[in-house]
Amino acid sequence: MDEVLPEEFDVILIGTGLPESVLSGALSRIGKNVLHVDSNEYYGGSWASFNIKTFDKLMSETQMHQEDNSNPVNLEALISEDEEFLLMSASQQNLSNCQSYCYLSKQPDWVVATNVVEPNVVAEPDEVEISDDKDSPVDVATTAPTMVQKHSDTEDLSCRDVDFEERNNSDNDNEKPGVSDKQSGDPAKEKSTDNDSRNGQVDAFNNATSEEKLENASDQSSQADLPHKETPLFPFYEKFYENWRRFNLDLSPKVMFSRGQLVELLIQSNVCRYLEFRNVTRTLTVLSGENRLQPVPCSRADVFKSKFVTVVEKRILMRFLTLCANFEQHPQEYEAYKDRPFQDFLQSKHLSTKVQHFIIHSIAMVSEQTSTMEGLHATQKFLKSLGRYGSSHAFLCPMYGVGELPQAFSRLSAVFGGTFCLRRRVIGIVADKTSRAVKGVIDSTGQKIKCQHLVLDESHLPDICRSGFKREVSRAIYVTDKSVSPSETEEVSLITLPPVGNFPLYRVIEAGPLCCLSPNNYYVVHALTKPSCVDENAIVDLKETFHSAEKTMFAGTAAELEIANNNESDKQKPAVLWAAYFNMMSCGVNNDSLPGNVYVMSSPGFELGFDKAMNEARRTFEIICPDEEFLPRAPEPEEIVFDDEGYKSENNGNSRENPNEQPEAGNGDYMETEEDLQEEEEPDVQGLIDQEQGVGDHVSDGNGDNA
Amino acid sequence: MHGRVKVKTSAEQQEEKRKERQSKLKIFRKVINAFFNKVSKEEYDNDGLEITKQILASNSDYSSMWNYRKKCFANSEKPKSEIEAMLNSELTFIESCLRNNPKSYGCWHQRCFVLLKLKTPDWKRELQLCNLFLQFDDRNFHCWDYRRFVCSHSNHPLKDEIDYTNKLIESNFSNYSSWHYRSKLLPEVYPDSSVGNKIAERKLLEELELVQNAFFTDPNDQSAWFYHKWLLGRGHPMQSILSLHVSRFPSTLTCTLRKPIKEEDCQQALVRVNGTVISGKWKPHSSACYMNTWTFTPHEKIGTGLISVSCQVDGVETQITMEIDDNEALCCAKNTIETFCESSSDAKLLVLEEELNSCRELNELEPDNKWVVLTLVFLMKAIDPIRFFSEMKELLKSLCIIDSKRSCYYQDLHSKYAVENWIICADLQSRKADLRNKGITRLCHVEFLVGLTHLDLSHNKLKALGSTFLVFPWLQELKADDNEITEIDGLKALPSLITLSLNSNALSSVELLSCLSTCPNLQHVSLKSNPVSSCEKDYFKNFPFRLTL
Repeated sequence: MDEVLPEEFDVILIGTGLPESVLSGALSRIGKNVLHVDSNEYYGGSWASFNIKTFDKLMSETQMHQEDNSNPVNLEALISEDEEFLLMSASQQNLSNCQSYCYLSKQPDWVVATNVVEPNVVAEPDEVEISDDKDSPVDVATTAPTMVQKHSDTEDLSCRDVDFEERNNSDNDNEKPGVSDKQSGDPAKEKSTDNDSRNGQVDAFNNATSEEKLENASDQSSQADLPHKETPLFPFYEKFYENWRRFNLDLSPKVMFSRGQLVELLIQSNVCRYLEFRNVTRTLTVLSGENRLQPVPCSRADVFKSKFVTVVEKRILMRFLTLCANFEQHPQEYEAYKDRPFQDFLQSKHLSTKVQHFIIHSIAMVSEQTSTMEGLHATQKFLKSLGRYGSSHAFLCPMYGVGELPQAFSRLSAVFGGTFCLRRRVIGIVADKTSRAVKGVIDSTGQKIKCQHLVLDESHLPDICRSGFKREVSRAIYVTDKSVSPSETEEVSLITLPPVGNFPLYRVIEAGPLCCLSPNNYYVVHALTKPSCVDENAIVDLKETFHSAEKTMFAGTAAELEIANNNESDKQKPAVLWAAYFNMMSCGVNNDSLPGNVYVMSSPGFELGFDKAMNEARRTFEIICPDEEFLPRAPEPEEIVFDDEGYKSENNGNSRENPNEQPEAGNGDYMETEEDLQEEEEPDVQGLIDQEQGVGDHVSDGNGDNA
Repeated sequence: MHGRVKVKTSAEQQEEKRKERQSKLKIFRKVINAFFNKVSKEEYDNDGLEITKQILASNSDYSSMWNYRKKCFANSEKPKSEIEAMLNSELTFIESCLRNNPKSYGCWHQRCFVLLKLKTPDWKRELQLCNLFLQFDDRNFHCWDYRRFVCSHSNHPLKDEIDYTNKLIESNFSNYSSWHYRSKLLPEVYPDSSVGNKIAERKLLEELELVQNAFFTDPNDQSAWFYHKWLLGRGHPMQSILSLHVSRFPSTLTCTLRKPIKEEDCQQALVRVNGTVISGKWKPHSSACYMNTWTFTPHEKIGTGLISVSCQVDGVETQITMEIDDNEALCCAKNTIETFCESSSDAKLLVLEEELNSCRELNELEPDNKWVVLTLVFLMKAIDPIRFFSEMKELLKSLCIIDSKRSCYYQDLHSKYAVENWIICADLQSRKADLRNKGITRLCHVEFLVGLTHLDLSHNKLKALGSTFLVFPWLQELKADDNEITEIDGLKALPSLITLSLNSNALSSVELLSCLSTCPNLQHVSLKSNPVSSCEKDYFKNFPFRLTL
């Protein structure tokens, strides 16, 4: 970590998020000398994915890991008179209001007793302790209120420190805000009003009143004394965490438009060979007034088999989509609506309310008030992606999480000679006083490294270059026991929950073992929404923010359902076993105070796809290297000729290096591995064997002449 | 810096490719020679199997090699268990060939061969293989064929196959292969209890709904329309005797059937006079082996009284009975709407009416879509061809404009419906047919018209009087004025034809008329306002009949 780096680079990049990594790969690829540093010990920054234990840790530590114990750097010695020093922001954390919960109960004694050899229990000393605790069940009952007290204490600190071991030791039900209000007596005023309104309004998700729940909770803990051996509804806490490594939880879940810039770039640059992908297999939404997820007919096949729209609606929808696919050629169709809301235009095309909903929320993914032009472009973008991989799919998502993407581009950069250094913090920028151009950086070891260009991710901006700091995305991650809408084969779903009443719009991505985001029989549900609160400093209860989405998708938390014990719980809907909530912050850039050769990459944001990040990387590349090609195809290993001085030149330079790296199938075949995994009877995933069909369903019109 | 990369030049790669090819060619020639050596020596051994394997692995279309391998397995004198093992490894080999070339006839045939040879073939596995290959290409007809082969040899429930087509259609309804397969399966899984319909009505109605979803989703996709047409279309018309003509001097019986039959079947037909079977000989009307019209010459004279003919073809018994008290008489079977379309229950009619309404709606949404308009015509025909006739006529007219390339088809369709409607309403026993001004381009269903003595086809759009006219043994007067006739080669040897009128047509040369000389009784031919009329009179003087030019 403290090794001394070379003194000068063409470009220094700080932060290994996606746009920085793409840029780093592109620059290395054309031979630029690149240093890429990240203060974290992992790749990806705000784009990273973590296993569940790391995620828990992240949720509990984010606010405190700022303390810097490195030796103070003597700046005076490093900065000459004509230079100025811009201090990097001390707080580089862009997550706030983090909290995570596990709703599963600990393994009771009788299970441990019958199952002593369970390796997990032995392996994890913490958990052995816990089962020791359980030896005296009375303890559990008495510790419960104490834990609640502690919980509400931490809540006052605006960040809930989550300590899983302890928390699960107590009864899980204590997690509920209603209960903690009761116990701690007097929390913040707005909080209690929140809870009141919630209790009044919501029934399915939060069925019992706080008092009842408390009773139920004590009932249950007393029942726990008796060795009842019926099969529990949910896996035990220990069982759940047994496979902690097999969770890949994204900080910024996104999906790729099959014909979006990222996919093109992955093919063009051959970076795709480092990655594997899955189709998003279905799109779901909830119609207004209903509380049930239903599939959105997007492709011809979807429209054909949909049972939720009449045949006439099908026709009108198909006609509309065909128009959108190449609307530019029919200006007369939308001229009059150009500057009017998209919804007006849809109405003029006689689309039913239901079909309008599908188009606005799930296909174009805009709002009712979006202008017609914007709506048409968004619809077209979707349709262009439809059918590229698999006839009725428009999106791909990377396996093992979004965090794989920045790593793949970083790998490209490293292959082409980029220098990477994790756990290295840059404390400030050195700029020329007169030209205001950046000359280099100083890292926490006190080394001064020169560069021509400096690329930063947003969270590393020097304080004086920032303008404002706001919550950009509110996030919830759930681990559930089944899909939100179970079907025969495992699906990857994109779900839009349109705004209802005071609740905002949510975008939800659900995936599971198929994408290697979770162990078998668990699903990961990512929910995103834009924070509605105007006051940036107000503490928002994120659980409250996501309440409406939870109510629609889930039966309740595992803890709640165990208490309800089958009563009234919706058997169809999944139970939440684990949940995390946080905000992702973003700051504005004050361009006036930013030196000219410094480029700032934005945070992931609310955008569903990757186009914004790709544009940013490409634009920056074009400024730094105006006449160079952006990510030309990287050669396959067998095409690489090593003409290292003397090393292989006698050999005609033709010998194959790196025998371990299997040459992979040609360009665009990056779905190949997919097939192998699919071998065991997974008929639906036919999609991914490079089935590029040229044009999406709605774009092609040659379909008719087949017989 | 180490590990700097340099990409090979394309010239380098080309050279490499060329060398590779050359060496491959060398090997190929060598192996082929060895193969033919084996064949000429008739050596069918393991060595030969190895040799052919090398070539087939990369070129699976070499059918001689597959045949050689078949002989190897067939001629082998090894113990059965060993052959079984060889055959099993052959299956694996074929599979690897199919991966390279999924549309190789040789491979699929070899697979059929091997499976029939195996003692306990694993049909389940074969079905899975089909699934896999159809997943890669759902229109691979080789694989579809193979699938049918597998299903017919295993006891795989056909209902599962229908479910399978469901799945394929759901994922891509533009795949006619799956619809077609479905149309083959449904009549077997859901047979109609009453004879005549293709599939049980309940299922039919479900299918109509399914296919409606497809054409509303994409009205330009013809797979769905074709399937819809199949659903609407009737099963094969039932065999029946359409007419019976009896003449006493000389004694002959002429019988016309709906569908042509073979001589063997015809000889089985029984003729009864007043209940007594009489013997005699059936002769076809012309020399073709399948014929609609057959003539019976009894060994004894036919008296007056009740005459009946009964005939059994393909297990269907058909019969006609008539009374004769004169020298000559004709009896025609009664025709109704059901003669030309499937009978419909009230429930089905209701569904069809609904279909018609939604298609009308679709037509409004998609004006000028030929499939929609054509289907409207088919639906109307299925519901009531007489009530809707004028509307059908208009729709077909508009189709000629929308889809001008197929205008002849639409005109022929109209002709067919016009003639059918006429037949339904006409009194065929009067032996006179007035088909003027019907706008017909061709004369179809002539088997219904065999008994005619007078036929008037004037003011239509006929272009030729072709071989269909050969069937009229009693036709005395034929009028076809004001048509677009350019050829009359069907008017050959018509035994009874006396008067022929072909005014205002497009007959252009004297040679065209030569066939008329073969009509023994032809007395008068009128050819006013034809191009040929302007020819010099001398050309016509050899004809044995009177000409009006």
